[in-house]
Amino acid sequence: MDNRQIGMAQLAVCRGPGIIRSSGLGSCIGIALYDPFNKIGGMAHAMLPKHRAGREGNRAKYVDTAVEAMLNEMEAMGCSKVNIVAKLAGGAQMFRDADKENIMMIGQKNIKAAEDCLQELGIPIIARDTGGHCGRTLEFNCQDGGLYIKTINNEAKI
Amino acid sequence: MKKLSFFQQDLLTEIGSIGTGHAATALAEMMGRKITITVPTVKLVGFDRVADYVGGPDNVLACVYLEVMGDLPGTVLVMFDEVSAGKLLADLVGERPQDFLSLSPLQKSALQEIGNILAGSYLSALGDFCQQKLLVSVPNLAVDMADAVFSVPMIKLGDKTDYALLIQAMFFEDQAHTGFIVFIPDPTSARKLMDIFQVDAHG
Repeated sequence: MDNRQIGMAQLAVCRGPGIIRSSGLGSCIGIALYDPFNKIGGMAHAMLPKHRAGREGNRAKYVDTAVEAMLNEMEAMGCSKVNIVAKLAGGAQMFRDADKENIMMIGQKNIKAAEDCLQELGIPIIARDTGGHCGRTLEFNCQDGGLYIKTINNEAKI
Repeated sequence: MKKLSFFQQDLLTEIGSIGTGHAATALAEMMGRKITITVPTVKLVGFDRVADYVGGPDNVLACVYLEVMGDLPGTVLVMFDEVSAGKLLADLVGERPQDFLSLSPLQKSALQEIGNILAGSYLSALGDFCQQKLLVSVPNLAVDMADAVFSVPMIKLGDKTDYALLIQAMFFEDQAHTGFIVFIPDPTSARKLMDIFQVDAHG
């Protein structure tokens, strides 16, 4: 079984029954893509909304390029885009009292970027646990597409 | 910048020591007890590795976050685990929290103030030494997993770089671990520090 651990600004794609884990998402956003027919899943732990043109570097860092990279990899493994569905988790505002205008609102921007990007690609978001003020640890089961979410005082599966 | 040279490492350790020394003194005065502090660990690390320097990504800590502005912008985080936060609160406000994950407003503001005092003395020592003017934001508190809290300063750096420069030190009281203070200068500030002390930024 293929078990992968990803950190900030990383992504992974794997076949069921593999599991992709990511610890401690705060304002970053976790985007899970799943093809239920081929039992292939991908997950990215993206930090920022949009890749700016002309910049090299780590594609998993940005929502749009991370989704694109996962999609390419999944298609190369035999998935078809029309079958792929998405789940979102993360995008929290870690510091409650902070000035609303600055960097602290990045969580919301990441959520919005993921929604826009997936909509543009025609990938439906079938479940989500976003926003709030809590960090999340994610475990994505590439066999059944289940996304387990743990916070410091709660657990859930979406 | 992907790797620190020997001289860069040495300079940043020295600068960090000056800051942490003052912060430890401030904490010791506040608590009326002897506090020791480690020589700072200076590391240039990928975003996925930062939490390793405060006990791992899932380690739940009370984190006071302060933004540094002025001549050397960056972030300071002052972090306490459950036991040490409880001890600090018992001593300072006379109540040990029932539940670390849901602190009362008084407990929160006490921890923020401790963070504020520690970061303030850290930065004023650093500013004096480098003859730079530093301003610090109001403190913000979150009790959560280390990696989730680090996402905030990492996102701030994310657009400019793939590495974070950590200047981390640990506090001890009677050999019991008390907390962390982590300074994360922006890349421009790190370069500026090299310039001020004429350490070749590329060597």
